[in-house]
Amino acid sequence: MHIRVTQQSDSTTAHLFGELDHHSADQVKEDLDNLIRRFNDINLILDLKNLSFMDSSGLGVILGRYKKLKAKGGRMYIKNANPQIEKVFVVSGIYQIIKKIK
Amino acid sequence: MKNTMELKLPSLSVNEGFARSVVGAFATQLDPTLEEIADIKTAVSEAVTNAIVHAYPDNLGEIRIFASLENRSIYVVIQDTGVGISDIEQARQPFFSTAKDESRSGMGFTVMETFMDEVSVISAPGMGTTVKMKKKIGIAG
Repeated sequence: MHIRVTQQSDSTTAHLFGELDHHSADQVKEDLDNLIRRFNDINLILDLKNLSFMDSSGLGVILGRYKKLKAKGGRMYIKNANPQIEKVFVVSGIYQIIKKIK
Repeated sequence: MKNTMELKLPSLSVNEGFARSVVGAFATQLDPTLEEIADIKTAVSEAVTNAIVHAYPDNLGEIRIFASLENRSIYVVIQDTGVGISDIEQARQPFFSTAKDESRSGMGFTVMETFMDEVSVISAPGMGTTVKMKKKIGIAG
């Protein structure tokens, strides 16, 4: 599991690679927290195109980062979830608070 | 014809990926769709993670996984001998978690129930936990 970060003029994108489960959760948490700490007012896009698997441990990681970002006035978006991950998101109702973009 | 497998693992988080991959690979004998495989892998991941996080919070323990294929269905049993669950009904509620870590979503059982056809939980404090799951493969066919 690793993360690659790209910058756009109005947003930062974190590209997640690999599998996000309880085992990899701490690393992802730390990486995203470092990213959030460095920016103010950040539009953070989580691009899951190269994330091949995620379970409910991933939900916890994303929701926790969402709260931190929101407290700093930032916004989070999710894109390119594969069907397995999409199903976990839909079950959790996460799209009611974090917007899905194309 | 019935086929069976057993897997015994220490409760190391690195085994979460291994456990779900093994059960997912075993299920391919039923010629499932990609979605059905993903459902099984996700449910196994949740149950194994529960055992690692909750059954053995402070020590390593043993997790046993049994799977069988019969009548176009997969049956998966995930068993630990850890601390057990005092209130199973509460544990199965969406967003409920006893974990102190804020990033535990409390959605583990809800995901298992959504992705599998049947989920039952046998547990008592000090007696460990057994999660039994069933999924029919190829319902549409």
